Amino acid sequence: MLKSLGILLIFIAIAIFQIPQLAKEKMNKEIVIFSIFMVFTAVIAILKVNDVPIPNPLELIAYTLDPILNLFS
Amino acid sequence: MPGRLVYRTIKNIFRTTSKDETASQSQQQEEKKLVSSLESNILEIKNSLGNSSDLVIRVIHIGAENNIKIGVLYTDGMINTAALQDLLDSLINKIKPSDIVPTDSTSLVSDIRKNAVTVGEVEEIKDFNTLITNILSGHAALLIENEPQAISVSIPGLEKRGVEEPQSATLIKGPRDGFTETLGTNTSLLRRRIRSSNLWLESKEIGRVTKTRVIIAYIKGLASEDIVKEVHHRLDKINIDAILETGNVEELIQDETYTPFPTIFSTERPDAVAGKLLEGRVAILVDGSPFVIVVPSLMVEFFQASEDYYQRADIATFLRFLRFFCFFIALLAPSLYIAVLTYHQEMLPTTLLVSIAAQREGIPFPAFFEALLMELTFEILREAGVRMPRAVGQAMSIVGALVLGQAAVQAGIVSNAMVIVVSMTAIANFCIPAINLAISIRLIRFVMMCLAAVFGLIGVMFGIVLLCIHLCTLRSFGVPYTSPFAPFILQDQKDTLFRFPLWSMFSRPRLINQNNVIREQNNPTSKPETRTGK
Amino acid sequence: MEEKVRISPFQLSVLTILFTTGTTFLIIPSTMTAETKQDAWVSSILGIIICLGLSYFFIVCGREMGRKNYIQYLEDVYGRLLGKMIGLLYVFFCFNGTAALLSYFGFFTTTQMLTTTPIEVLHILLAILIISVVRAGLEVLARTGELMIIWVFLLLLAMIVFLLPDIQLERLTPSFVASPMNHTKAIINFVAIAGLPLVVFLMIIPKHINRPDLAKWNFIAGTLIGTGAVTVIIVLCILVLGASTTARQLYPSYVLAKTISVFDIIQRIESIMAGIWVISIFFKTAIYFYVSVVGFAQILEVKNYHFLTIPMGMLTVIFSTIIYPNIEFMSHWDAKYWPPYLIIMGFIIPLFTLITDKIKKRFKSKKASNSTS
Repeated sequence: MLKSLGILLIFIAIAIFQIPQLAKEKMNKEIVIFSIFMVFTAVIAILKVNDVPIPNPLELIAYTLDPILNLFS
Repeated sequence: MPGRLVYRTIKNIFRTTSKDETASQSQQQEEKKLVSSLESNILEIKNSLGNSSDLVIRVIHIGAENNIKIGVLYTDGMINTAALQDLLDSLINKIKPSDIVPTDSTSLVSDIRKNAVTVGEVEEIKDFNTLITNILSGHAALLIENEPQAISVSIPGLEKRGVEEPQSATLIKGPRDGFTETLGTNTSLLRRRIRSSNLWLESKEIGRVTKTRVIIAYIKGLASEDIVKEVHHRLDKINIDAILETGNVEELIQDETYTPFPTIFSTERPDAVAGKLLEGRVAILVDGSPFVIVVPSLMVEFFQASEDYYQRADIATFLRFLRFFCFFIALLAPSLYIAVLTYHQEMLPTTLLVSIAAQREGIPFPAFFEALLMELTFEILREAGVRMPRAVGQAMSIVGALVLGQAAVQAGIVSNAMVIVVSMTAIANFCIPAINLAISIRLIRFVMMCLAAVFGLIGVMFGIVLLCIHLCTLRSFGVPYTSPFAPFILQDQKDTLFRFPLWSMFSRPRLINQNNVIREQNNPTSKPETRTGK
Repeated sequence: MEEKVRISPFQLSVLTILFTTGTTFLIIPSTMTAETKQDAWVSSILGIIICLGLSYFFIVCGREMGRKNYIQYLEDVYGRLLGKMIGLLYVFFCFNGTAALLSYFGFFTTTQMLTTTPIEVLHILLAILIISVVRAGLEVLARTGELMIIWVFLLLLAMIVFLLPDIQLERLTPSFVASPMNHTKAIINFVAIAGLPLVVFLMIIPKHINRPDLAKWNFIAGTLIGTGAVTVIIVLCILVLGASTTARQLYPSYVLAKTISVFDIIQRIESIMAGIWVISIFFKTAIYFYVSVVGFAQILEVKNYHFLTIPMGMLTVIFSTIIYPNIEFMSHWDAKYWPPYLIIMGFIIPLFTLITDKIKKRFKSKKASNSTS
């Protein structure tokens, strides 16, 4: 719980640092993308520190490559 | 977020008030014109200076029937007394009464100006604002009864220090004159070295209250127009009450504030400035400061001493290498010591390891703490050494060297090896010619030590890479700070790590000066001729 | 997203060298010697030739792209939607590459140097570096490369000189005994690790080069120097450690540095030599990360990419522990899936794109000439 809270704090700190810079240049679309991205990353990070298994992207590649490899062997 | 908001609001409040103030001040003063009555003019000047005691007012009567009243006003100590004597003498004794009878074509003011004033720089002034500024900067003002204008005669005679050897950068071979606090002396020192009509000096006044004179010096045709324009632009943008030293200007015009590294070169040596002007750089001189800043500046410049150019090239190259080596020692020695002792003992030869281990046997602290203690002690000693009165210097060195160094080892607080490392670091730090770079290394050293204590050599490498990234982001007036190493420019390597013989340095630095790169057309066959240095 | 950053051809060479040597220094000697034993140097020289051909191929691709970067080009050729999807594959590839390299760095340091430090801390350490350099931009990355490459080569030179006394030429015998099959496998590994990842440079050339006409030879020269340096390390490993010892090690060149001992004074300097790997891994990671961030920004069509670096960097840190849960998985995946994956990403897709583009252009010009005539 404490870990999750810490991670949340770090993310909020970064958002406070980054968003005003974007707002100064009036990049509204970028602010939305940045916020979505940050929320997504924060969720993954919190899942990670709470030991929730997260799918490995390499497994996905392996899964798609397997049929091709079988074709050759 | 709230903190930022509060900060911004406060900033805004300050900004608006200061703007209003200046606006109202200037409005007030511009409207004030001189009037015809001498009495009220003098009274007005007196009032606006708050009856300051250094304002001297003398009223004299001249003319055929002693009917022309003239008020002579000047600031005590700001003018040349002999010149003032001459002025008064010619006004009272030498002037022929027939010369100052106004006719239709001439006024009294122009008559006096033509016939009585023998000094070169004279102007007629109609408003109080300029007049007061002039009086305060070494002019004598002549106010004439029934004339709504004044004659301002420039006879400045400031108390000034003579040209002496600069304290901050001494050398063995080379000129010994240094800049002084007087702007006129400084420009003359530059002119003396570069007797070219292309050396242009442009004057500016910065500081709402101090009205400090600032001069931009460059060689027309060599300095890049863009950089000169940029310097003007940045100086014009300065809106501050006081400029007291070149350091103030430097801080206000530098590219990057959040860096320990100096991105603007400053020196007390006229020969160094002349050399840099000839490379196409722009110098900024500030009245009241013996330091002159030169832009744009690169990191390698802080490793170049002007003596390098006055002695043999091979020796200068060796000294350059030595300085770069010292840079790394000063930056890394304590952190490498910590890293090796804490994480990588296997790197030391066995005998050395045993002897260090024996020394450290009774020491209660880990290597990092030991190093931090000694480094901090040394920093304190150094700071005290700079600030203390000369008379107590002896006591200081005894306390520092004997009591702290020797006793700390004997008491078993630090090891001998640590004392050696710290003193080596300190001495290496003094090898760097530019004091402002040396200071920044002192600062970064502590960060490196912390990294070494936590991650060993990997931490040190991390620190070095981060330092390199930081250095590569820096720019000085648009020129990358790390050039000519990064971006790598082969032609400019002649005056960086190596100091090539002068006959081979036929080009000026590329990034600083694009339009006039070739500086000489010598070839080695012309060697027997004697040539003067740069 | 339009960026007006330009680097010089020389800087491109520097980045290419650092990129090809990246992790290759550390891991390739064991993969190569496992296949072809003491003949590994032959297969690596053949590998160099193929890598040079590949870099020429990328230059040809770059010429077709004109002033566009790779993802813009994909959108041009395949249309907006399909192009973006293929572009996303590359962003995914580079993202995985960044995370995997963080993981490599973590495994290397925690197993060899800092055995008690938690691996996540080291991932974060490297991530801080790459985030700060990519935020600062490609120019800063290139300039940092110029500053650091001198140290890589000095250390490499020092290593070679210090190891000269330990060289035993008979370790190369018997020569030329490896079967063609083994050679093929070794070469595929070499090309997949050193040559094919160069496909990410399609995001940099020719768009971000100030003299695209000179970029060709600088890129090829960079590849040659990089792969050549790798070959030197492979030969050195065989000559000093012997082929079978090299094949058994996880990080043979690190073991190589451990054997240095000059007059009993300079010894066990592997921690300093680690500088070579740390610096080159940093640059390889940074380039992967730069391409993933810029590619992603291109796909999202945002004004600049700088704001994406921090969230993306944090995501890579999280995935760096997921992507390779342990060293066994790493060696297994790298051996089995990495070469085919890279052949698809680094050769087949660019080739297919190039051919499609050519056909499309010819078709178009024919159409145009038909309509005019």
